[in-house]
Amino acid sequence: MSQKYELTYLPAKGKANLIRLMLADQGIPYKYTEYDRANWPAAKPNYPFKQLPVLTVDGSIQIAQSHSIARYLAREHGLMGSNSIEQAQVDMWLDQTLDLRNRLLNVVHIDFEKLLQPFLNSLPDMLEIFETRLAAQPASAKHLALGKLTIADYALFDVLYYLQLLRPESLDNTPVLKAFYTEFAARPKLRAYMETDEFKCLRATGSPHLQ
Amino acid sequence: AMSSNTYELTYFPVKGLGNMIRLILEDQSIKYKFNLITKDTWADFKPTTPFGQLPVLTINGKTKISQSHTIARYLGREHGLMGSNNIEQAQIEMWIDQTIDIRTKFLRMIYENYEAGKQPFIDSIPAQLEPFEKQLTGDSAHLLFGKLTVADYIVFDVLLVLVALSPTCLDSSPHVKAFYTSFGARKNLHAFLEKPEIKSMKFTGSMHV
Repeated sequence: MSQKYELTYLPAKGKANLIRLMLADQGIPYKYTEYDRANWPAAKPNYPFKQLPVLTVDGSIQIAQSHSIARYLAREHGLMGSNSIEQAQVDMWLDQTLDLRNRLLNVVHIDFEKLLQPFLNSLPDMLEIFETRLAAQPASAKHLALGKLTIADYALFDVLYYLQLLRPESLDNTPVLKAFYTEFAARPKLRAYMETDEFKCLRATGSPHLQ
Repeated sequence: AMSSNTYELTYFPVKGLGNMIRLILEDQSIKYKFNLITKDTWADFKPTTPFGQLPVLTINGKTKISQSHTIARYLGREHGLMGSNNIEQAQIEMWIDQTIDIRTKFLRMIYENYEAGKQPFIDSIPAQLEPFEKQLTGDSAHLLFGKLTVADYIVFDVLLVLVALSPTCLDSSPHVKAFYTSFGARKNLHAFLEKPEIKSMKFTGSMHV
């Protein structure tokens, strides 16, 4: 049986992690294919922007760019609100997590020595937005948007995962975020996926600064 | 398609991340109020925004949407510029994301490494535009589906700032250049960009562009 979805990436968690966490947690089946350093260069021209991840839908339609893939899957699976305004409200939180992720990835990939400390200095302000938002939600519904689970929650969890890999004490001053992370990580299917050998053995990024 | 929403767009006196939103609104003749924030009024306005950032789109006087590309995507959906189904929407969005990669590199150069980084960045423009050049080869009027989508506005907006940095930077990308010329001739869009207060507005908060 051929899968509706095929996700293609490189041997890292990287930008595919958010998508894979969501697919695993939602129980959405997909085929996963991976290029390695040796065979990727020859395969590049087959992909829209010569970059990965790419989601191939129904065997032929290629969606590139990790956040566009995430938004597409979210819309398909009820994780992006019920109308256009709700979609925008989820989307803006998704973009906000992307800002944080991009700054983290800049540190790791562009100039670790120069950028690490400024990043850590700016972290409290960047995290405060999320901390305040979640603190304002009822205890039973610690979600970023619409009072319910959306793709924005997966994106937040994903960036907090990387943040704690970089610095395990990253969330020590944001108790609500720390509790969000712990609770989200305990979601049964998500936890099962994160306990697989495949997940555990996959390095975080291609950089030596974040393994 | 016109929606019945009322819009207020709040931003600084710079083209920056607000310009692509204004291009959509102006070219599509969508009524909106532009709320200009200056250094003096920002401190009071900031706490009323979702993330302490601009631009913000206020819909029907109450719903505030932050993040410039979220706003652009929202307006695209509301006004028939986002494809006919979820897959088309995703394809439009991936091209928008690709422009964000270019804009991000540009802004990093402008704010963090202008002296040493300007020429290498300009030299990298043809390579960065390669997927767009390829995509526009069949039809240089529109990026996708042979029809106007919100991606066209956003690509055009990025090209505006690249050309401001280096007027000849599109010369090696003839189909992109043809798109830039024809899109820039759209009546409402051109009229908006030619307004004295818009024409004189800088692209960034830096002194360079």
